Amino acid sequence: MTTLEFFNNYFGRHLVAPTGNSVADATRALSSGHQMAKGGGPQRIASGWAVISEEVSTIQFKLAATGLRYSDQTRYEAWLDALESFSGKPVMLVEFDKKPVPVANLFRTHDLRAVQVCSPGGAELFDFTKEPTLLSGKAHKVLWKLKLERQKDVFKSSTSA
Amino acid sequence: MDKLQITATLSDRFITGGGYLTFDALLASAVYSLTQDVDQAHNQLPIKQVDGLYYASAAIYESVATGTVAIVQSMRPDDVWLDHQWLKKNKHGAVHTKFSNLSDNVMNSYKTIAAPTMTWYCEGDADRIRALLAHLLMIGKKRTCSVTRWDVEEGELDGVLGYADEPLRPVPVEMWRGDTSGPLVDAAWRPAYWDAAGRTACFVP
Repeated sequence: MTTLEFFNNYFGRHLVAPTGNSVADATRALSSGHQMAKGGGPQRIASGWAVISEEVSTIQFKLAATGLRYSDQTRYEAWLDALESFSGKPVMLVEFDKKPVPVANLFRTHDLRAVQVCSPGGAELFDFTKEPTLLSGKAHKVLWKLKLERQKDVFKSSTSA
Repeated sequence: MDKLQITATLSDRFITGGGYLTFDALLASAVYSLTQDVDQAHNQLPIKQVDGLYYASAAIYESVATGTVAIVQSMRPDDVWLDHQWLKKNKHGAVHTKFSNLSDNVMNSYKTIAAPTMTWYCEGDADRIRALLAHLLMIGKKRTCSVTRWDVEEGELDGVLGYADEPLRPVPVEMWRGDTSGPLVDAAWRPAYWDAAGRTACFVP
């Protein structure tokens, strides 16, 4: 399965009717307006995040589409959950913003040594088995910090119990 | 088809744009410049091809320094490839002919890499490859780096499998027969490399 087939199969098809053209379908899912859960006119996904996987795809932006799971977590909490529960099956971590995410920036994560975070500005690639350096990108640094905080919380709760 | 090692001696910093700079992509750019034929550029290169996979490695180089360069991309009417009807006109209806800070001019910043040479391995026809390389004076994204010399010699690798069974280029999981300990990455493995539709899980250098 190609990257865009994965995206359309587990995410895009819940938003737009598939035409068989993977690039056009993914572009429409990312750039066109969709019905919102709160009603009103269709809106493009212009904020929040998504975690796309074979089991279930989760998104923060509250759309009317069924077949997706909705969550109020922050992007880093959601992505860290996805990485901490990573089973070897590919996941796609997406960050939305006012500018649509180009299909050229879509990549799956197949391995924690090559995590990809897709955004309108590009795709940040990093090794999540290693500590970030000064030159590392924002996602790597924030996710690593959050991971350490969670480990501290677990340690505190286990020692206080 | 012979196993070959190709070396480019570089004059300046180059821009990869994050790609792998595979040797088939490099030759494809030369073929397309000469023929304007996309099919020929993608499918009829003088390099061994099996099930769409070219036996041509990604660029191998040792970076001695990195940096950035800003390039102004201007919609210049002197560019013969662009019909004047598509260019923005001034209030007199004439095409802008000089650099300005109009919205047509876009300044982008690129990461640069400095390396004295760049090497590729491939399995191909040495004479036809030499003939095509003669037309490749600049390499890398934006073609900012000129090649002062091309050397095509007999090589030991086929352009796919390295000395330690590592991948020398993006190879899809189903086609890979080497070491599988490296991480999988989504990558384009055959031309057109810019086309996201062809991207799939690959073992990469």
